[in-house]
Amino acid sequence: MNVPDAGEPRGAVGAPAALLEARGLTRRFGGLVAVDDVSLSVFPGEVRALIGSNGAGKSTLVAMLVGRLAPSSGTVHFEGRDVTALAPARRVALGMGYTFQITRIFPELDVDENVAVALQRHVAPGVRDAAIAAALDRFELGALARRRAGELSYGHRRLLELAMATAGEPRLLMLDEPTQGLSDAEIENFAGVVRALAERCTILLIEHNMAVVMNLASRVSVLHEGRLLADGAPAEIRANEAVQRAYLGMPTGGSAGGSTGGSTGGSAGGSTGGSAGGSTGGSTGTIADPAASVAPDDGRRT
Amino acid sequence: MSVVAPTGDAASTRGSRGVRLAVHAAVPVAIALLYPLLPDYHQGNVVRILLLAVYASGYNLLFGYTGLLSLGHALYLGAGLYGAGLGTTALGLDPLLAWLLGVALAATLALAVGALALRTTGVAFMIVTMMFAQAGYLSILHWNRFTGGDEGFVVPTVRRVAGFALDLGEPDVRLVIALVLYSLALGICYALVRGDVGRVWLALRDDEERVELLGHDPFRHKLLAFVVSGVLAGAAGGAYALLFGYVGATFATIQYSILALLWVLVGGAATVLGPLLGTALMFYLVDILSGYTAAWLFAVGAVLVALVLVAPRGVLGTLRHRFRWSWLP
Repeated sequence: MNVPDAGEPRGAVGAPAALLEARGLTRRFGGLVAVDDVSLSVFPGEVRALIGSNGAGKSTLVAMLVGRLAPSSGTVHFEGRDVTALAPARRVALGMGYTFQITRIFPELDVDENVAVALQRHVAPGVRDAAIAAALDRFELGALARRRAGELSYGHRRLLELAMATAGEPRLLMLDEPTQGLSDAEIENFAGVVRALAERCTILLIEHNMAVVMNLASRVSVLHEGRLLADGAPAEIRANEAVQRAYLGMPTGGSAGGSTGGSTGGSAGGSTGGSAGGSTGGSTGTIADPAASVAPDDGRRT
Repeated sequence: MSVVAPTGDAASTRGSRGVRLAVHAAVPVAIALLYPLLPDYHQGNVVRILLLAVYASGYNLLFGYTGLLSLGHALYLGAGLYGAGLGTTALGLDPLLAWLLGVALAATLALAVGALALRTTGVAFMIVTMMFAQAGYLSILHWNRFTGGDEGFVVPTVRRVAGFALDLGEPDVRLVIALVLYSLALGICYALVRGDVGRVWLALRDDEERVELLGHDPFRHKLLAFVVSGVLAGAAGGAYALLFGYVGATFATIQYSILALLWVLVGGAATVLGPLLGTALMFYLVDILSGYTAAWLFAVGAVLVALVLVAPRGVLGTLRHRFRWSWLP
């Protein structure tokens, strides 16, 4: 699977077949509409980021995409097939991969047994050992194969979960806030891992570390108060006024807190400790450049 | 996220497949060799322990490996017992057919109860399984015209098997049958827990949702564990009725559900040989204590408390953990 360059124009000639397509997804919890009529298409080969502030509905949306939560209305199609009614296990068997927001592995099993659980549905018994070794080596976990997974450090657990999520060679990998709890150095390492993964499968990255998003994504979708606010290349999103308004107090480039332009300063919170996001200081520049194209609110520019 | 080289002693040792198989096969062989040396009284006990260990081994698949605590497995033990007993006395079936009837009854009940009870988890699962077992027990008392109620009934042990008159109550015959049955159960459990199914069971015990998001259907795997454990309980109950010639409602009481849990905990949950060890230890502990006091259930409770405090992994589980015998399934 080849990776298109970031910002490659899509759908210019004929509509490319979406790998994953959500149509009118809505989820209500009592009177609260957590996700409101969201339509979203993820195309083969892209690294799509899904961003939004806390409570924007990211987790609810992803839970519906992978099948952990049934939508109140709307459909999910995967490779053209309606999977709305399928259980998560079936969707994974069809080629979806998923990692949890909080790392979840099997602590009582050895590291290689963790991977074996992940790929035994996909790989014939005869070649399984080789497949396990390959999956572990891809994340430099080979030397830890016979350790109990519960004994691993947090960073290694994260990698193990990635090894598990990718062991079955999914065509779509959904990473739910993968950098949460990682140090800056680990985040940098992680970005490299995701870039390597992107050569093997399409990635849907749910993230609120803007630096990571701008660094990795080929396309970004912004969720705000349950609705899709914008959808476009990272540069477009960065320049989008509606997005900036939604992130008021947390301007793009966000967690660095160092972006002075237009920010209401203090409300950027205690994140002034300068995370890896500091390197995207360039984002402040976009605020000084309002001429940059602004995507319409509901603009799915496919 | 640099790679840390494992230190030799921290990495677990798995041993070879040959060693694993030899250790497990040695157990029934050793019992067969020691049996002739035992006094009559203990010979009878060995047969009882082997049959109850079949029951406990099945329970271990559900509780030890899959992490599902049922408080109602006496229902399947009782189903095997009454199915084989009534199959012999009321229907006049061959022993083997009567036994198969008992196993089929247990399997059907386990499938039905499992399909319903597995819609719940945790405490609710314990209560639902227990309630079905209580319903089974009360049914046995209610239909006392057929079941003999509290008193149970006697099953003649001299039967014609393949044209020959065979006394199933004869000690050596009993041992051979019990040993074959236990060896079969051991083989089944070993094959299941070492295979793909067992790996998913263990993973389910750790994190069910993670298992589902790796493409495995949790419900089907849990139902399989439930039914296999029910079948082994039924096989043990049926054999007990035929070999000891007695069918009684005691085996269907909640006490026997809890005993299975206790035997598995003592021997080591999620170890293939643990149930036999736990059954033997508890059988003799009760046997010895009841010679001194009528309050032996008190001692059983004390063992359970001590176990949870001191060695929650049970005997084999503790050894496996302490010495990192991760080769021991």
